[in-house]
Amino acid sequence: MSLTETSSGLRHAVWVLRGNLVTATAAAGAILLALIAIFGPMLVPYDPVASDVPRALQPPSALHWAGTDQLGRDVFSRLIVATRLDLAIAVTAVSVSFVIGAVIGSLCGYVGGKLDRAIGRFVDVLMAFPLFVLAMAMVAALGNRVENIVIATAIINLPFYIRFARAEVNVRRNLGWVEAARACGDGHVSVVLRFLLPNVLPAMAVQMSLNLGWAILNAAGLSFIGLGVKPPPPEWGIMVAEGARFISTGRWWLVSFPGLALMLAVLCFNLLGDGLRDILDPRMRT
Amino acid sequence: MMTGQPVAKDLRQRLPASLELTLTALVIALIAAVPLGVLAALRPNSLIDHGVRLFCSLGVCVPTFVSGLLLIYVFYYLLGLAPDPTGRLDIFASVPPARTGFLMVDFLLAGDFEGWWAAARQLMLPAFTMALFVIAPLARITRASMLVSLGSDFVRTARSIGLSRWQIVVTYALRNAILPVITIAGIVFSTMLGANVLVEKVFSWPGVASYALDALLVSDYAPVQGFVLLMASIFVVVNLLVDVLYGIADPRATVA
Repeated sequence: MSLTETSSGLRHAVWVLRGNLVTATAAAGAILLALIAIFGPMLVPYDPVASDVPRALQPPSALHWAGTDQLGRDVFSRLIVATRLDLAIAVTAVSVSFVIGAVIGSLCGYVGGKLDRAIGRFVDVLMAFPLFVLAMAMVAALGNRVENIVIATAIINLPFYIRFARAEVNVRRNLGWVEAARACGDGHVSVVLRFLLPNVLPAMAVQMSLNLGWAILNAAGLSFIGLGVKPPPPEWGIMVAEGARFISTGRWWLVSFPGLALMLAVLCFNLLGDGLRDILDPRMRT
Repeated sequence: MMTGQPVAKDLRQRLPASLELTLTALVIALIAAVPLGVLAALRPNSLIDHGVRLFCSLGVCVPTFVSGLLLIYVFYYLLGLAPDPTGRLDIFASVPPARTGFLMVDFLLAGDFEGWWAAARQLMLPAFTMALFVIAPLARITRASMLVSLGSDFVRTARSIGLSRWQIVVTYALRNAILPVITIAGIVFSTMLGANVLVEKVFSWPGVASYALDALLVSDYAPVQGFVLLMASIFVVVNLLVDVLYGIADPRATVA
């Protein structure tokens, strides 16, 4: 991409952001989340895993902004530290399925024929399962580890990317400029990589941002039911699960704050996805 | 297996509890979402429209297990309106003779209205938790397709010949706008089967999902396999049902 294109793209992005306060806020929120994930663990006031039993189950105060849990650990510090793990799981899973989905999908769309039909059926089979249940079963079968949560989340995201890339490549493969590239002597691989994929990527990036929120929810849901991340490292889903035991005696802060963190993270990525769609893919503007 | 019984038998015993919960939630969600979507579409960019949009954006972001726990906190701990949020019935309550396995139906068949009310109260919180999560996509699609059908020629014709507002909106516009809603309801049902796992865990609901979870945590895989298979079959049946409903809602749709 040339310099002028980049700067005009940037200018367009800034223009859209200025006109759309919601997207700007969401983008700021996402950047803040990323910063927290990177630097958070260095800044927290308390050690997230050090227990302090005499101070257990205290409500929020000036000393402990979000209260303390059943072992006296500071909920606020745990929330901050957990950001890294939660985001890492979601981002890795979505990137993996984005890359694999783009390759397989564009291959299907470009080659067509038997391969297309075979993979199409495979995707149909995947989609026949309720996806959260499928992820649960996969983590159970592969073993209860963080890597497997990433793999399971990546696989349940895969069908969407494959279908998306396939459809986008399929409508383009016989267009004039693709024919022209082929006539100029470009091989099939180079046609797909240099001409088709760059046209498909923006729309897929939007999909990716929308899926990030969903992936966070899924990962947190899995660890809530006791799959994947093992305590003591803090993770939002586990924090909710541990707090759940104390909710019917009125200790609201143990559940509300991790819940709020989850909600804000997902909200940021969803709104950002909507905004990105406006910037990158004006055809789908609503 | 863990309970000393064949998995199929265990699943059959627990399935009605899960279905009762999921179907109630779906009905609640549809009852809430369709009017919300219609209202938003009737007055685009009004206060109602923005309110519905805000509610929808928030609704998809709150994980079911968090909203469930917060509902417990508010309605059980703070207000004392809801019963103890564990299981389908109070431990000491008498169980009606099992005919269908659906407690609500069984109580009605036995003519025990007090029991019916108790079961309904237990059902309310988990059902609302699940409904909250899926109102958003349903309301959003209702709004979008209502906007299209309200702007179409046949609605203008209906208006010009002086039909009542109710008749225009409900009989003509909504009837034509309902197709995409049915499609989304099918997809939403899949999400609900997944959310079911979390909600059953939060409310100790004795359904198939919590059964599979218990088995999972002691590494007993046969019940989990049975559960996944069962969920997939239910999903397939629901999709078939959606296609059939499609034919009823839109006589033009044929088997292609």
